Amino acid sequence: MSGYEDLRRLLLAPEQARLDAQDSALAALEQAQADLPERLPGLLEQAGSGEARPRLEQALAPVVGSALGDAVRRDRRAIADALFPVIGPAIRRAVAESLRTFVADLNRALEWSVSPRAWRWRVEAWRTGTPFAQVVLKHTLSWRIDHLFLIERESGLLLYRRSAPELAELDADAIAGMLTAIGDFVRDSVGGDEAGQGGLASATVGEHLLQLYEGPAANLACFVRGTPPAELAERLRMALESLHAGHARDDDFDWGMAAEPLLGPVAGQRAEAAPARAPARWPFVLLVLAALVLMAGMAYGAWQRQQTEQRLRAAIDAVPGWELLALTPGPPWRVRLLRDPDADPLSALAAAAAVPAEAIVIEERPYRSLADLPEERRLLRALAPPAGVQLSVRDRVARLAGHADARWQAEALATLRAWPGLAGVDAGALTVGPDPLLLAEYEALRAASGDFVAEFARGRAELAPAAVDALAAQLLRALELARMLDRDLSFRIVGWSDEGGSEARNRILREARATAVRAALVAAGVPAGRVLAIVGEGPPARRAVAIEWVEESPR
Amino acid sequence: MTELARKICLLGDFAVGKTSLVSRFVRNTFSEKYLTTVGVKVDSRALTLADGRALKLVVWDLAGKSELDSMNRSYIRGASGLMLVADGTREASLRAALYLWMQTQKQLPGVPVVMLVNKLDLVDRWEVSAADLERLQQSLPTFRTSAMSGEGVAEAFALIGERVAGVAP
Ligand SMILES: Nc1nc2c(ncn2[C@@H]2O[C@H](COP(=O)(O)OP(=O)(O)OP(=O)(O)O)[C@@H](O)[C@H]2O)c(=O)[nH]1
Ligand SMILES: [Mg+2]
Repeated sequence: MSGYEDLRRLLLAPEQARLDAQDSALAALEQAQADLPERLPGLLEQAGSGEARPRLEQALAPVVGSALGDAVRRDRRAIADALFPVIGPAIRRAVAESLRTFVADLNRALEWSVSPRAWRWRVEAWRTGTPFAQVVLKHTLSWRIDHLFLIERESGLLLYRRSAPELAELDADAIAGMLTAIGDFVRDSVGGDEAGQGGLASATVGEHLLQLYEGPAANLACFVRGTPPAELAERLRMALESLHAGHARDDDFDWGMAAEPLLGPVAGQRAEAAPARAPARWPFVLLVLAALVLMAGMAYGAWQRQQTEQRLRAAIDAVPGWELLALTPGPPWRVRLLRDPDADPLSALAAAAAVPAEAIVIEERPYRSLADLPEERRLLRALAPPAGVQLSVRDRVARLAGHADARWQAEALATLRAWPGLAGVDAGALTVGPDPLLLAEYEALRAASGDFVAEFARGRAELAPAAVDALAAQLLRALELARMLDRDLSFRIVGWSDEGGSEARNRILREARATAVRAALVAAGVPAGRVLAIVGEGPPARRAVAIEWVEESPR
Repeated sequence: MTELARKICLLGDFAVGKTSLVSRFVRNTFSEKYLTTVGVKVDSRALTLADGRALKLVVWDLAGKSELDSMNRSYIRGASGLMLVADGTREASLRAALYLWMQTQKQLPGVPVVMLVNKLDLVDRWEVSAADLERLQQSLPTFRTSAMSGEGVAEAFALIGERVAGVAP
């Protein structure tokens, strides 16, 4: 064996020596690099602080850049998870910065507003050294958190929840699920697929402002009532970030346990600043009062309208021959009705209902009513009853009373029987022939006028003033009665004398006396055609005139 | 939250009775009226498991589709279980439910699944045969349900509850 070894050594000695030397060099090198991981940070620090830094940066930049790009492409979520707690504060700082500018602007705008309250706040701002606008915001903002949900981003399951204790119980699990679904939906339809991109950030839900804060693993949904201050959003975002930081460190992270100390105090937050509440009450009281006044006004208005409507209905109801079709409350009140042409005119309606005429718009349609009054008016026109006859309609029965001649009566009864809508005709009180009372008066007047004596002086024809006045009245009445009794009456004035003397002389005297009386009668109103002056024929009698009635036979 | 909560999704063709099953399960109500679901409706109900633990079942009732679109894909994210719903009077709806299940496999591998063949009250009009159901039962738990009468509904939800309680969300 050793022979072979010896032979080998002989043959390969130089070679072996070089190999051995290289082996030991390699071992030395490995030995030297063994502690490189320990020394690398130090080395890098050294390189980073010294002159070599630019070179190191240059050397590393492309490698780190492409490695990072690669990592982002391969596992976007992990990078986002890692960066979230870092980026959050930076964003917050930017937001806070812009808010500060906003407050400054608001400050300038408010600087000019003057009111006792503004002055108080100004003093407070001066005292505490805070910007005025911030003081204003603090006093005017009233808000509270009603619900706070921490929702697992992927499943939409509820991780933690706080609701204001006085609120009615709600199905938080379902709401959390729906919020997640809606978020997914918005993201899906608007585009964007990563945390906080293209998702739903806030929405109004009834009286609530819903704010959504998205994290890579969990989202926060906050239902706020009122106007929350900017710090709230900041605190919630901060809480969400530190929850995520905890989640990243711990595989068995209990969101609920971790959330309580972070979110519990925030959820309980609210601001109903006392100074803000006091002035906030009287507008409310005013509002309630205004509402009450409005309601009372409306009630009164309604009551008044009802009264008017009742009056209108009653007024229309009261008039026979008016029939209400429709009444639309106004003003203007729209009245649609049927009116019998023989009923009262509609111009009477406004006054009867005590409504201004201009507040009523009437639409009228003609119809024939069977009510008594318009029927009576129609019958009076159709029958033209003579003076001695009364015609009336009661309960749709036509009644005739008085005296009429046979012909009129026959015609009237025929018309009435054929009259549509009449329930009956009652002619029991109608007598045929002249009215006996009228007749008696007529005869009395005839007798009275027969007694008329106008005395004249001997040989004269002058009449004493007012001598014929009574006679004229009697004759006029007699003429009136004659017309009622359907007689054609006229009078003859016969002149007489008692003087001796020639017949011719007496004739002249008699004619002059008759003519004088006639003239006086005509002057007193007796129609000239109804009086005729004639000369009495015969021996002397007395110095007077006589009145004779001349009746033609009835027509 | 320490309370046990799991999300399940209902999948199935339109008008097979998904919404009706949920309202029977959650509110014990039923309506003849058909109002198609738009997007998704989430409801929840607490269950007591056989071992006495309480489980909050958060039920996502998805709009009926015969194909799983991108929207539905985002809705089923994070689900611990699936309920497939078919309408016994429409044979095609059974195939649609199975097809939908197949499409979820990549996203939700191995989650518990139950099949509900609904409208049992109309059993004389069923197109799905007893033999088909028998075969189905071999590969996944199958229930014959009626949202109208309530038959089988509680049992189906109870089973999916038991199954998902052991699965991490
Ligand atoms: N007879 C009977 N009818 C049912 C039953 N379940 C549901 N329906 C009726 O079927 C119709 C559809 O029910 P939905 O529950 O709205 O169906 P869906 O699957 O939610 O439909 P989409 O939301 O469109 O996908 C309704 O008219 C229900 O009343 C059942 O068990 N028996
Ligand atoms: Mg539905």
